Amino acid sequence: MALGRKNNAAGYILILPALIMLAVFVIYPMFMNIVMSFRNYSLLRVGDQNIGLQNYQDLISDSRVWAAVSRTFVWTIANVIGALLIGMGSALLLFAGFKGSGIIKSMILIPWVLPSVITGYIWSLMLQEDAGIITYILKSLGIVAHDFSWFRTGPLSMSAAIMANMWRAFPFFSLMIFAKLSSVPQDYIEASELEGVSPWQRFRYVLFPFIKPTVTICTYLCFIWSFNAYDILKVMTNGGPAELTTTMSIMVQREAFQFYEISRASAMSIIMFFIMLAVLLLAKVLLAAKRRLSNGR
Amino acid sequence: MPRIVLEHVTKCFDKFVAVDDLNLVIEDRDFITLLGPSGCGKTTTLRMIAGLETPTKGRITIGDTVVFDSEEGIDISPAKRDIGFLFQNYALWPHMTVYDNIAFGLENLKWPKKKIEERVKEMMAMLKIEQFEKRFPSELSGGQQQRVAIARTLAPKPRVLFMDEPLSNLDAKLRLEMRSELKRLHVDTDSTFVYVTHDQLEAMALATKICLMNKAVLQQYDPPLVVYNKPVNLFVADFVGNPTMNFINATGERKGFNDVFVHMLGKDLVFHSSETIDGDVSDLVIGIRPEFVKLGEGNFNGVVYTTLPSGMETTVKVKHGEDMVTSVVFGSVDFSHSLDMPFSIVSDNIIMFEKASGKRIAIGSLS
Repeated sequence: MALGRKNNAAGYILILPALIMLAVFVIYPMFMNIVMSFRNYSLLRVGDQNIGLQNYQDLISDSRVWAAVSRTFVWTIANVIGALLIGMGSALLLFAGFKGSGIIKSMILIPWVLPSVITGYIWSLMLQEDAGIITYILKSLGIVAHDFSWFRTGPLSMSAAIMANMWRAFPFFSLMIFAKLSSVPQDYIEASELEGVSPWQRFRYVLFPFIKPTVTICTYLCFIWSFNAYDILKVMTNGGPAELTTTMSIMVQREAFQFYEISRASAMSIIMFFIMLAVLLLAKVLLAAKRRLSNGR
Repeated sequence: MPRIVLEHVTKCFDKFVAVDDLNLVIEDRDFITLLGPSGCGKTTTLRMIAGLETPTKGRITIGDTVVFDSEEGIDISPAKRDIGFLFQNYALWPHMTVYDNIAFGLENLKWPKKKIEERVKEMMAMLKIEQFEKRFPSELSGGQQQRVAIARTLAPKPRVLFMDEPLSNLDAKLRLEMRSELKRLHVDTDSTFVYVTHDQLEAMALATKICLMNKAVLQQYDPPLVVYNKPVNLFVADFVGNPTMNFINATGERKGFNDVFVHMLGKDLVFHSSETIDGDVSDLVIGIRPEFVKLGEGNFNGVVYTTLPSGMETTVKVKHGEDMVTSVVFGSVDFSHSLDMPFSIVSDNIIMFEKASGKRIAIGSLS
């Protein structure tokens, strides 16, 4: 027993450095964020006091916030679906194997490891209205008008940013799903071959059940990452034109570091957190309900 | 009815030859075991017949259909070969119930719903798994999963059933039980079974014919007792039988067409065969099954080295000069070590191998 207690102390000492780092850089800021959201702290004024739920009331009744929330959902859903489909498709392609798939396998992670700010700049350049390669090709092929610009209207700006983010996000799906596919026992694939199933059925009944847990986790992760994503939008559109690509994270950033309304930004980020939590919980509940239904037949 | 014919079938993986010029005829309703040490090419052979592996050369016929021919470029997909394949790890669909697992293949074959239901019920009754109908594979024990796998494989009434070491994941007791059930199933289903195993006892017990392979080459293809009693070479003699055959080095000299003077275990003996002995008899290996070594009396004087009782029988190793002779005694005895033990060799099924080539050249008796 005495020995056990001594070991325990040693254990705590060992995790202490990590614990301190966590406390200083994660736990304290999080706590302060909550505290701030109930005050009216601004970098433009001296002094601040507790104003209770005033910030929340203001934000909830602000139509600009709700517009940002809905844009965040558009942005997130488009990204998750796009990255998931491209990721799964490319994983299946890699799994089937083709000439040169080995090289692609090792290169596919490049978009993922590139800093997303760089990705944003690259895509901005490629989509730039005069000299961007993509715009140039589209223009010379006559697909778009000569005065076409990606960044003039809200939907187009949004799709440009979504394209860039999808390009950045899909390799992660690709690799995770490919890794899972590679671990499907050969027996199952051969058994399906012997039973003469069609390629679609093979995917539906043999491969997909295996990769389903991976796809679920990837979807959750992609949801969280997209919902919070900030850098690509900041670089490519900066929330414009006319706030039409301003998502919540852009709004929080602007509120805090352009308008210096720290308390309002804190409250906004907490609202963001609860929206995200609600979506994830809803997904969990729905999945559990579905599982119960399919087991109970 | 299906008769499987393999002609000059060869399979190379890059430079490694897995199966070398294999010729094999599997008759309808046979229970064939492909036997051999790991890496001998038995599984590759099975997979080639099933269509999961493409031979490098050769021709495979199932029934009247040529399913593979390297020269004519025929290669029929596994699904169209009308065969069943039982995997070592069962390969049951983990997300489907027992019922759905059995029905899935039938649905793919576009059977009418009513017939599927009938057939699945029939298979579940046959393999005594009715009570598990709604369970998932993960909720079943290994033996139960095995039964589901068999039911699934047999459901579409395949003409031929292939099995790749199907019992190796089961515990010893269950393995024995499933072995007898498989043999029974073979009779009941009236189809051809091809079975891969590395366990010679399993092969002996199940097969109507054993196909013994080593290093990509077919060694012997005969009924189990023929393989046991008349092994064609040293490899076969050594591989089949437990405890293994005694191999005793000997020198010989021809005495006539059927007789050879043999010098072994320090004694001069006469080997008498009922047939003409053909081959070089100067350097020999004499093969004696342990059950032919009778302990207690005889003109050989050995010393007990170890005794391994297993209840029903006892394996006794006796040291005779430099040689070690194994004997099997029925019943339970326990000799003390280093006990003087005279023994005799009594049988007309002693096998004479040519030492250089390892080939069997005669079967006969020693006196």
